[in-house]
Amino acid sequence: MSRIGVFVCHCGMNIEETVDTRRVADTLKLYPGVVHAEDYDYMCSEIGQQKIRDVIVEHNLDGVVVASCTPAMHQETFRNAAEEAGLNRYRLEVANIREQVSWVHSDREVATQKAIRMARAAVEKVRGDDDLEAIAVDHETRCLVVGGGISGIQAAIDVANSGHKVILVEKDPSIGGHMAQLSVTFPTLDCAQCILTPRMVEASRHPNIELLTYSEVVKVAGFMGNYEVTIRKNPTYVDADKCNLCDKCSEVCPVGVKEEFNEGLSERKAIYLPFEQAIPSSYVLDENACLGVKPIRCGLCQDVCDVGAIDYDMAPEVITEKVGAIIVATGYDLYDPSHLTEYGGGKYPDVVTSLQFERMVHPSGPMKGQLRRPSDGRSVKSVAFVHCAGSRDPGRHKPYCSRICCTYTAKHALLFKKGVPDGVANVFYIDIRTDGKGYEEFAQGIISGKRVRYIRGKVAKVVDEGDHLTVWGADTLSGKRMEIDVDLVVLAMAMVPSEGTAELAKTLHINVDENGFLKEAHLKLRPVETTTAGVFIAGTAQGPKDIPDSVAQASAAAAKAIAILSADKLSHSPEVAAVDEQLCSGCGICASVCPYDAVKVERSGIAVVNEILCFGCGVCAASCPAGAIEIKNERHAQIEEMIGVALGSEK
Amino acid sequence: MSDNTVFEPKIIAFLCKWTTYAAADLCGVSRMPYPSNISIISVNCTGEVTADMILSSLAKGADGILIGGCRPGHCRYEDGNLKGSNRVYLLKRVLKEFGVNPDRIREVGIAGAQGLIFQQAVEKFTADIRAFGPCPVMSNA
Amino acid sequence: MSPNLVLLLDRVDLLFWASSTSDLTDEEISAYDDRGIDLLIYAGTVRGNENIATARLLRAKAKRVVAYGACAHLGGLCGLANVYSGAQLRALPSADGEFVQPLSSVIDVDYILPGCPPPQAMVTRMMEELFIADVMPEQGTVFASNKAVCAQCDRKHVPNPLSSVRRFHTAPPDPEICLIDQGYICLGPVTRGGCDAVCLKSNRPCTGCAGPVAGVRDQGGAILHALASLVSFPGTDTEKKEHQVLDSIPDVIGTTYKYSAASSILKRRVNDGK
Repeated sequence: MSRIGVFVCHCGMNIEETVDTRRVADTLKLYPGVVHAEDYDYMCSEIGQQKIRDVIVEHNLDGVVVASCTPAMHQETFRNAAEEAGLNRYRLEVANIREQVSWVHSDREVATQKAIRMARAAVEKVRGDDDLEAIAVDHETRCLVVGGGISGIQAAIDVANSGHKVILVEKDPSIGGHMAQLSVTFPTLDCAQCILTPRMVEASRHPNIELLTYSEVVKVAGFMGNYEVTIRKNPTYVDADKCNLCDKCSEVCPVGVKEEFNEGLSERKAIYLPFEQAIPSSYVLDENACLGVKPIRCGLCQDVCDVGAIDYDMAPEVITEKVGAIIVATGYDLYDPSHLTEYGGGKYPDVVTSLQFERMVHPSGPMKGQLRRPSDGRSVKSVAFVHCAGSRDPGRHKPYCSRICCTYTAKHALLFKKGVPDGVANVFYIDIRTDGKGYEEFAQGIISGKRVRYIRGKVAKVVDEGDHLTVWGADTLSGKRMEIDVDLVVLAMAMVPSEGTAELAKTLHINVDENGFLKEAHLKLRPVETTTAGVFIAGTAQGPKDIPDSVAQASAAAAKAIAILSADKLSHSPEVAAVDEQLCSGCGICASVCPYDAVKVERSGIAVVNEILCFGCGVCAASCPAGAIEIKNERHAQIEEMIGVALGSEK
Repeated sequence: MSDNTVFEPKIIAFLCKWTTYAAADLCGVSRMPYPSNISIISVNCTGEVTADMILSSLAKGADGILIGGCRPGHCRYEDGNLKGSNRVYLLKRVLKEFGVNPDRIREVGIAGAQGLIFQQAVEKFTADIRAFGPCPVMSNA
Repeated sequence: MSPNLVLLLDRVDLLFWASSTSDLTDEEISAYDDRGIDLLIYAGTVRGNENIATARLLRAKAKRVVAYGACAHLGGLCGLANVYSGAQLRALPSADGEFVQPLSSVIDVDYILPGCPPPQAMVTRMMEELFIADVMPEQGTVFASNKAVCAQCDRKHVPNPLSSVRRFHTAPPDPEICLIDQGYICLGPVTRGGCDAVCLKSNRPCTGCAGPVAGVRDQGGAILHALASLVSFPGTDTEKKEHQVLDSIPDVIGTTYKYSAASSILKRRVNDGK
């Protein structure tokens, strides 16, 4: 006969408000196999956990049910407590009576009855549980970092410094990400390249980091500690070790395309240097722009290269690497401005994005820091900066705040006034959200300095009048409509997840949130973990944020990865498939359906499970017609009992 | 099908713990209410759901069965969700031949972040089952 | 009929055997003492109140009861009637009790001899254990293997997801390879063995006559979820193709619940508004 203890949590008023926890406990006390039942305020507290430990010992329990919040919250907490008291941790089950009862139902009687049924169902499950021991597994000690922007670079350096090898994969020809495009960074106005390039160099020179640029992750198989990653290295057609950056190839190349680094404000050739501080420091041939290398249609660049660095025979290379942990830091893109038709985004050449403005104002940018209108090259004497372009607009665009725009727009206004002291800078804002360290002081200095005109009101429309733009807005503080003529409009575009994020998430079996950003395991307490063990996220791929937060998350993700990589052995859940040899006839159906090749029919004619490869998905158990293979502690008989009790068909 | 008492359907839900179960939790966290007719059992994958579980549920008094898992292509166990779905497809033929309304079994693919969709799915399914009336299978037992 | 039966005739006092020696009326059966008959071997289904009454009467008069053959064990082929509501069936009174039931639904059954018909080897085993052995076998004994037919089938496996369902009348199967691997539907994996896989050895599929292996309640459900799990095409968006394969199974109930419709979880047709 079972000896099960039931603990019903009030969770303060969270459960108690709707569920009569005393009654649940009293009713469960009478249930077959339950020898103890009580209710308490906060089962997750030290007192609550001590109750579990004490009752296990006093009543010699062989199973525990805690009726409380969802298992994801505290199942591990309670299982730890049980284990400390000498009960096998897998003999503890959680009944979800908060998220799935008290928080979604309002009738006290109905909710209490449902809580009773769910607690009883958990009792049925625990009644059938066996002692299980976690399986110790060997693991890989290398880390994969996907994305070579500031977050990926930081994470790679941190992991590398802990003594573990890192493979850093970046799909662009150079690492650096968007930060390399910035002019100066708020609030300190450091030159972005000056603070970034030392990190880029460190990452490229670090003995523990292998840099794979112009490469993409195409497949991921395996599990925490033992991932097998397939990477495709795209051909650059230039040998980076030989290239001496002489630029002769670029000069003779007949093809011109929009230059990505300058956000389309300039042209580059098909063979090009991504940017001056690019790492690897080498030219790259963009085969999509090139007239053709297979067969050779032009060949001018190869002819003119003195050092023989150009090799048209390069081909994509597909490699597989084994790693123990994965960090995803694939960054952001800006929301396509052509969605903002009322602003002429993507249509009017003089309506630019914030990143384009960074390039315009950069001393080494396409305009050498001289602000000129992209349409006619005239000097810019007046600007309208538009906050929240695409952000905070749940009806038509993105519902969220992109966090950095208020501060960088203040910076942009400041830089404009420095470059054009007699110029007119108008900033159309809704709020000023400058919440980082030093940001408020920085922005207020600009706002109250009165050299920049701050107008509180959304811009309704921008009209291109040919030689200037007219901005229709409103000043909500004075109540007046405004029409301002300017030479240039800069849109603080919303941040969105970088292109390919959704695909990559699928490849890695991680989730994205409703806005397409990589989803964290818990918004407050586990911001860099995902629900897939061993895969971590960092930076703007997880959501809009500034550089300090990106770097902090990168180091956090690195710490999580290091914990796995430096563990002696990893612990694999024992809730895996098990074969009943008395019932197995060797029909082989389980082996046919297993996605991991974790079960095979041996010569003996019986199926055998490789527990390390098994993830307990249950497909074999559901496919076996004889019921001869089941998941430990989630057996058909247990589920059968749970069904009856949950339906209330057993009294 | 006239009855003096109001028919309260009994619905059992087998929810994949990675997706739809998490969506149900999100409903709770966001305090989005839904009818209490539904009792939730967590499974590792909808690929774990067997014909037996479904038929047993009907025999034990379930008027409706909701199976919630990953959308196609998103199963973390490759294609467990598709296998489960194929089983339900075949089982529905059996149910039809036994005279049971196959729409009493509903499959949904709801991601963990889609709390609102879960709430709507439960509300709709409960209303639909209420309209179908009690499932006659149990009284057969 | 097994020739071995003749050899046992002098060991038993055959009180009645409807198809050969004699038939008895209910009155004559009632005359016996309760538990006065040592062994009742019941073949055939239970259908209708009259059958139920006779079965119960016989149970009262017998010490031990054997459910003999698929009809008594599972409801058998006749059980398929529970599913259909053709004009013939509608003509029957629709009162309770007119549907087919396995014997164990109306009386306690001590032993089961499965099969349609029970294979010679199993019949011999039953007779040896019941008539020759010193001690009666344990109640609940099934005179067949606990494992599925596959354990006795020699065919080899060829890993092959089920991408189409083949019918026997279109082409005979390869006798060396597992039928399911070749795309034929075989109920071997869910069906009790002990028959020495004789159908398989004659290049025919197992149709499930011995009922499900121990612990499986619903034979049709068990095999159909195995078959559905095996149907798979590589790549994405394969749902339509997979449904087509499943649709091509011509008679799901007749194939998967051939003998066991009456002992399935659903048992019989219901009227669910459609």
